[in-house]
Amino acid sequence: MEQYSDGYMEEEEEWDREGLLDPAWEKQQKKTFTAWCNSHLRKAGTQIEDIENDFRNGLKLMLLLEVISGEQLPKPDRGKMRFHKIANVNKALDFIAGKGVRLVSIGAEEIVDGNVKMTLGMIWTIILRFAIQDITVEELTAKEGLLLWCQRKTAPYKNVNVQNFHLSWKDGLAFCALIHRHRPELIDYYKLSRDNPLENLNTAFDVAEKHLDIPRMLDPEDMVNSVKPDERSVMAYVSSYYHAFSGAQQAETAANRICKVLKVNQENERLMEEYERLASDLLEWIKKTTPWLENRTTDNTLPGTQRKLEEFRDYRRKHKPPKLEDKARLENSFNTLQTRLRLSNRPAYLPTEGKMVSDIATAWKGLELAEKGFEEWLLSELQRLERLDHLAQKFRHRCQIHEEWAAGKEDMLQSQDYLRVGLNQLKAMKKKHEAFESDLAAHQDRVEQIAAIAQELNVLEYHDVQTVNARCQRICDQWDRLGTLTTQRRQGLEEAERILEKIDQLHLDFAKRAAPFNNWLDGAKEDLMDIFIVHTIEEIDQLLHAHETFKQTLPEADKEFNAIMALATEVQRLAQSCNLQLTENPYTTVSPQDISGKWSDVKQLVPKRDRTLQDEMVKQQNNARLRKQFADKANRVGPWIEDQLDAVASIGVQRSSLEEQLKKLKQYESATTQYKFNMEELERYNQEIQEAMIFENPYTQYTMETLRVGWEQLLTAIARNINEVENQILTRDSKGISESQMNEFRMSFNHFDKNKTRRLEPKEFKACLVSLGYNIRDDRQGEADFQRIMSIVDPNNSGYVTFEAFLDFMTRETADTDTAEQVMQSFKILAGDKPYITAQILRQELPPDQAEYCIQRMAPYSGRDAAPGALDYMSFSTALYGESDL
Amino acid sequence: MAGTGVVQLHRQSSMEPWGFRLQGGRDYRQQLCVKKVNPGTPSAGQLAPGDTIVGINNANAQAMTHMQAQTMIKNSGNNLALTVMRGYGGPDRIQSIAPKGPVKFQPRR
Repeated sequence: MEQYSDGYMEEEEEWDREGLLDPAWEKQQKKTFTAWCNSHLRKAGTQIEDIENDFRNGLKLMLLLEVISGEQLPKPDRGKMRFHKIANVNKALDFIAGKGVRLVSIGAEEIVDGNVKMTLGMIWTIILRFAIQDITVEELTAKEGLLLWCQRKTAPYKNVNVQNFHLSWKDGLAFCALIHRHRPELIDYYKLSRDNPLENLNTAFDVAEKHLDIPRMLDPEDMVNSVKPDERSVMAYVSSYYHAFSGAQQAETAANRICKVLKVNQENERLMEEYERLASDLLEWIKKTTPWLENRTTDNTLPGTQRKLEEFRDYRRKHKPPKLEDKARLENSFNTLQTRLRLSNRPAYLPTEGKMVSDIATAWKGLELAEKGFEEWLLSELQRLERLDHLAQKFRHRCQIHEEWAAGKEDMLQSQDYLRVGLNQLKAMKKKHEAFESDLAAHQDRVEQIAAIAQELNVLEYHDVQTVNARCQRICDQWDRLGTLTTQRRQGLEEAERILEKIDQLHLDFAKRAAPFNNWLDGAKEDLMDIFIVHTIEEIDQLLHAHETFKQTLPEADKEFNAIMALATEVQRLAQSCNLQLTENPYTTVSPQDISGKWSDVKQLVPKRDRTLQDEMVKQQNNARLRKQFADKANRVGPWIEDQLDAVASIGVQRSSLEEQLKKLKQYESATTQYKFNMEELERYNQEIQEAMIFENPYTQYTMETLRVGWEQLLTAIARNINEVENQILTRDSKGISESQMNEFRMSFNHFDKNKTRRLEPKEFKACLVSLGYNIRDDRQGEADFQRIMSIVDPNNSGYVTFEAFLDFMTRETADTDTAEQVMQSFKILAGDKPYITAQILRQELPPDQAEYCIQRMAPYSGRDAAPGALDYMSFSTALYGESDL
Repeated sequence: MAGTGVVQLHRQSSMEPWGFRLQGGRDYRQQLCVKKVNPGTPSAGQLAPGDTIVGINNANAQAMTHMQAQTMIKNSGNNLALTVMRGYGGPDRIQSIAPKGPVKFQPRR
C-alpha cells in the first residue's frame, strides 16, 4: 500500500485496508492500466499484453519509467534467474522512491510472483506520480487539481456536472464536453443526449483515439454496466485528456507571446520605414527647393520678375505649408517611435546616416535662411526695374523732342541760300543764324541731360541698354556735326556781309519777343507732359502745388502772347496798307502760327495735367487706404500670435495635470485653426499691396513675412507640445506614475530648464538628477555613471535631454526583465523542447504574417543535432533585443 | 577596481560557444558590453556581466557595430583576446546610485 505525504487520498484507504478489490474494478483497472502503459511504451517501440505477467522480469517496468520520466535508469541485469528479476524490479522501485514517493508494502518479490493486486497498486503509484501529481491548478494538488480542471472546462455545458471520477462520467457527456471545449470541430456536441450513454462514450473514445492520440483505456459497456465505475481507471484516462489539451494550451500561450513581441517589432519596423521615407522625401524637396531660393538673379525685366514673385507666393502658400506639416509629423513620429521602443524594452532607433532629426532640422534651417529676404529682394528688384522703365520712357521722350528739333537742321546749315538773296535778307540770315546759334547753345543742356539719362540707364543695368546707347550716340554725333556746320555757316555769312549791307528792321521786334516766348512755350509743354513717379500723397501734393504755381504765371504769359501777336498783326496791317509783297520774317523761324499753335497746346495741356495729377492723387489715397487696411489687421494678428505663443510655452511650466494640459493645447489648436482665416485675409491684403506697387508701410512694424514666420512657429509649437504631452501620458499610463510623482519630475525639470527650451543640456540634466537624489560623484566613477545614463536618455547623441526621455528614465522598471529569454522560452515550447524550430511548425503555430517574418529572418540552425530545414530561434530571439550569444 | 585589462579566452573547437552574451555596439549607441556569462564555458570566471569591451584581438572595438564585433569574435578561432574595462559596474550600476523610494525634489542638494 502506498502513502503520499500530501495525504490527498484518505477516503480510499478504507477499502485498501480491507485487502479487497471489487472484481469488476479489478477487471477495469487491468484494461485501463494496460492501455495507459502501452500509450507510453509505444514510444520505445514495445508494448505489454498481460499486465500481471509482462512486468515480472522488471525489464519493461524499467523501460516504462525511462520513457515517462525522460531519465536514464541504472543498467538492468540481463540474467533470467529469479534474483536477477528481483534486482531489476527493485531498481524500478528505488527509482520511484527516489522521486519522493513512499512505497509501503509493495515488495519486489510479489511483483515478480505476478501478484495482481500489488502490480496494479504499483502502476497506480506510477500514474499518480508521473501523470497526475504535477497537475496544479490554483495551489490545489493532484486529484483536486484535476477535478477543478474538469469542472472549469465543462462549466459552459449545462448537462454536465463533474463532482467525482466515477458516477459523473457514466453518461459519457463529460468526455464529449472536454473534447468539444478544446476541439469543437471534432464533435457535434449539441446533438448528443444523456439518454444514449453508450453512443456518447463510444463517440468520445473514438475521437480521442483518432484525433487526439489518446488510446482507448476504458470499455463503454463496463462504464454503463457497472454500478460505480472504477475511480482510478477514470482518473488515469482523464489525466491523458489533461496532458493532451494542456500541452496545446501551453503552445497557444507561447505562440501568443511570440506574436505579441513580433507584432511590436513589425509595427516598429513599419514606423522606421515610414520615418525613412518621409525623411528622404522631405530632404529631397529641401535639396530641390533651396537652390531656387538662393538664386538671386532675374531676367532684368518687369514681367519676368513679377512671374518670379508669383512663383514665390505659390511656394509660400501651396508648397511650403504641407512640407512644414511633414516636418512636424516626422519629428513627432520619431519621438513616438523612440517612446514605443523604450516602452517595449528595445534598443533605440538610429536613423540612416544623414536622416537624423538634427540633419533635417539643419536642412530646414538652410531652407529658411535661403528663403529669408528672398521676397524683399524680389520687391526691391521690382522697384528698381520700375524706376528703370520710367527712366527709359523719359529718355525716349526727350530724344523724340530733340530729334524733332534737330530734324533738317543739317540740310539748312549746309544750304548756301545766302548767296542768292539781297542784303536785307542776308542781314536777316545772319541774325537768323545768330539766333540759331543761341538756340543751339540753349539745346546744349538738353543733349547733356539725354546723355546723363543714358549714363544712368547704363549704371542701373537697363535690359535694353544697346538701343539706348545707339540712340544717344546718334544724337551726340549729330550734335558735333551741327556745331561744326554752324561755325562754317557763320564764316560764310560774315564773308558775304562785307558785300551786302541792307537789313530789314520791320520784323525785329517780333523776333526779339517771339523767340524767348517760344522757348518758354516749349519748356511749358515739356513740363506739362512730364512723366512722373510718386509713392506718397506728399509727393503728389508737391507736384500739384508746382502746377498751381505754374498756372499763376499764365495771365502774365497771356499778356505777352497778345503783345507778340499784336506785333505780327501790325506787320500784316503795314504790309497790306503799303501793298507790300510780304516776305517771311527774316529775323526768326518762329511764325505767329507757331506761337498761337503752341499757346493753344499749352492751354489744352493745363486741364489735362490737372486730371492726371488728380488721378494720381486718388491712386495715392487708395494706396494709403491699402496700407492702413493691412496695418490695422496686422497690428491685431501679430500680438494675437505672440500671445498664443506665450500661452503655449507656459503650459508645460504650470502645475496642471497632463490631461488638462492636453485639453488646453487642443483648445489652442482649434482656436488657431479657427483663426486661420485672418491670415488668409492678410495674405489677400498683402497681395493687393504688392499689386499696387506699394513698398513701404509706415503704419505697422509687421510685415507679411514676419507674420508668416510667427504663424508657422505657432502651428509647430502646438503640434509639438501635443505630441510631447501625449507621449508623456503614454509613458505615465504604461508605468502607472502617480500625479504627485509626476509633479516632482516636472518641477525639477522646469527648475533646471533655465532658458525654457523644454530640454536640458547634459550639465543641467546632471544637476537635476542630483537634486532628485541621484548619487553621482565628482570623480571618474561619477563621470562614467553619468555617461552611461546619457547613453540611455539620449541614444541619438543629440546633446540634450527631453522631458519625456527624462521621465522615462526616472520611471524605468527596476527589475531588468530578460524578455529575450522569455521569447526564447516560448519558441522552445513550440519546438517541443528542441534547440531549433522548423518552418512547418512556425506556419502551424503562428499567424501567416508572423510566421513568414520569422522564417525570413531566422538563420539555419547549425548544431550537431540539426534536422533538415532546422532554424535557429535562439539567435533570432536575442537579436530582437540587440544581443547575441557567442 | 576600475581598470582596463586583457582577458585571454581559449576553447577546444570552433563548435564550442565562448559562453557569453554580447550587447550594444555603435549602431545601438551603446558601448559593447557583456550582458551575461554562462557557467561551465570558456568565459566563466573570465568575463563578468557589465564588462565593457573596448578591444577584440588587438583591434579597437569602440567604434564597431554589433554585427562587426559579433563576426570578429565568431571568426576568432580557438583563442580570443578581449580588452575589457571593468569596475564601472554593469547595467545594475545605475540602479545602485538611484534614489530609493519616491523621488523628492530638493534644488539645493
